[in-house]
Amino acid sequence: FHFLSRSQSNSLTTTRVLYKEIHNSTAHYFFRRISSLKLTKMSKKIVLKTSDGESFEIDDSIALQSETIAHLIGDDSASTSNGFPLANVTSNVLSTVIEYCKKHASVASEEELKKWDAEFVKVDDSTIFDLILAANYLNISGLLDLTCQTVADKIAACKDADEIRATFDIENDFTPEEEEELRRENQWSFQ
Amino acid sequence: MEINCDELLGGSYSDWGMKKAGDYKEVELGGFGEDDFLNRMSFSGYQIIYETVNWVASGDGASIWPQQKGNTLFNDFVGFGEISGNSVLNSLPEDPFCMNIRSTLNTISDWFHENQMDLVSESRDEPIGVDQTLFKSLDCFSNGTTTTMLQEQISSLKMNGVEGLGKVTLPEDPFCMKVRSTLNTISDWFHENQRGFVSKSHDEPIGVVEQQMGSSDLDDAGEPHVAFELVFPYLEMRDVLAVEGVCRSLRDSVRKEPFFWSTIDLNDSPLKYRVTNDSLLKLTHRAQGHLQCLNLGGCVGITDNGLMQVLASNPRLTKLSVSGCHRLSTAGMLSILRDLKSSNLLGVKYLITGGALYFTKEQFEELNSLLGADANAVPKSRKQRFYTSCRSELSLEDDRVTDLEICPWCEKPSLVFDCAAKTCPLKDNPCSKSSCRACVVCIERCHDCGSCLNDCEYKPFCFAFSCVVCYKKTCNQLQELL
Repeated sequence: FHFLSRSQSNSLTTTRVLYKEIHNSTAHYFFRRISSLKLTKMSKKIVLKTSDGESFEIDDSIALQSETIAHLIGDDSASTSNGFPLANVTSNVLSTVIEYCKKHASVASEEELKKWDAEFVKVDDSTIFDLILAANYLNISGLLDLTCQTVADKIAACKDADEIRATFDIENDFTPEEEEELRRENQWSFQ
Repeated sequence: MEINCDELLGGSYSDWGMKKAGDYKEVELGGFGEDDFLNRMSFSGYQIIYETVNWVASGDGASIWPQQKGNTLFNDFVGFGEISGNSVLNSLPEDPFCMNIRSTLNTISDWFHENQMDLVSESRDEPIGVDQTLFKSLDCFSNGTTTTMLQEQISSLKMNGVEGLGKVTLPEDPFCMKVRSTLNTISDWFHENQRGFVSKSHDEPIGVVEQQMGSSDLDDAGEPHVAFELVFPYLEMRDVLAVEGVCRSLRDSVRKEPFFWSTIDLNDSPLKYRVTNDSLLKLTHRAQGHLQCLNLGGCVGITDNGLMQVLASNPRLTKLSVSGCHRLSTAGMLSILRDLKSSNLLGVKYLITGGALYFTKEQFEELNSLLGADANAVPKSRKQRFYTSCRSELSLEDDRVTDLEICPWCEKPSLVFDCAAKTCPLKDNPCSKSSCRACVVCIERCHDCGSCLNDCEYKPFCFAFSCVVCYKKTCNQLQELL
């Protein structure tokens, strides 16, 4: 009901009263119009603004998958007209996130969703990391689990630190003494 | 170059030339120093040149060209515009090509000194030949060639079989190019960057250099992405330790947050066979006292002593699972808990044994009292436990302190399971929920679906652990695969 503004709910009750008291077709018609308005108001559009200035308009059922946005809506509904500013998310990342949310808001079997997820994460490393950051900022638990688990699986597939470095293109900046110390510390865990 | 023309002009040329040639044997070789060049000249080739230059300058015998002896330098001299008289020779620039000729020639002369090259040979012709070749090589200096050329010349000299050239060590830096320091700088730079080259690829260091140059404008090239830290909770222990060894920033972020280590889950980890008492102690130390949950599922290397140390150093530990730790003993476990309780260090509230420890009734009662629970009280809400799923469970969903219970059938402390006959597909008469509750000894159960196997025609064959239904299902699946 919070999607209806006060004036609209007022008119609804007024209409009902009218309907009851006057009981003519006009009131009836008016009542039905208000009802249909109420239904359309249910799928409210939310505008999100990215850090690089683009605006995305999405259904609130999709946007509410992000707990951050859900809290923002709850706190301050006046800013819905301007759009929620997302300082840490760029437009290409947000469009990918919206794609995920749309799919998961739609009706689909679990198996189908799993398959779709597996395809969804077949992107390059930097995109995955950006998605992780966005999912963390927007607090979308499903996306965060999915992306983090993908990276965790990649790490688990690496035999040792060297392979991890090669996979993720990370430089080894240890001094020989530090390397020696680490090796001694974790010697028991190596094969 | 100072040219002493007096001597040159003093007598007839031939006299002068002969005189000089005659003095050749006695003249000390080397000495290209500050002194008069001509005085100390040891290469008669130069004599010839200066003779020639003078001869040309004086305008005599212009038609008679000198023999082909070191022409290039001669041409250089001649090409200096007007040649008139001695003033030309006087006014020849000291070091026209800024080659630091003086010090260069000094170096070479010193070199000759050291090596005491004996260019003298029996006949007079040969020195000239030698000089000619050497002159050519000196001539190369004016073009600014390197020591390698000189080396070539020297080696070609050797090949010409000139006596006395013997073993020659080449001067260190004849052209004052500071080659040594240049090479040092280059090798230092290479060594500094070597790690980067080697770690990236062993095949093409050159290509890597270019790559590094090109990507230096990206500030995160070679650095892990900031989102890496968010992945840590999803990593298994073995991977966490591997990630720690990747680079400095990852190592620091793995170590900095003690609360990340407050739950250590080694349940069925690939490390479970390699964890020792010491390594477990080290791991738990990373939590810096904040360790709360410790799951040692399957860690067969842990003994009573090790566990004692771990528990003593982590008084805030509340949940402990030792399922699968076969080296622990009941008596040991109880003594640990007793000691800790008496010294007020016991924080353990939940102990999961997973069937690894066998308790007598008295021990069970003591365990319950140590953990702060009433052994006889019936728990209010009891979740059904099925033999399949909860063999390696960490958390107890109801308010029991341990996963052991008194079996209703044999009245001994053990893991008690409910019947999952409802989920088992082909059961004709499923047993009632409350009565089919007992330990595994009393009621045999299927390992796959957890339903009871007593009194039913679906009892498995000998040594098979599944009921016939599940067994058939597995067989069908295998056949599909094949």
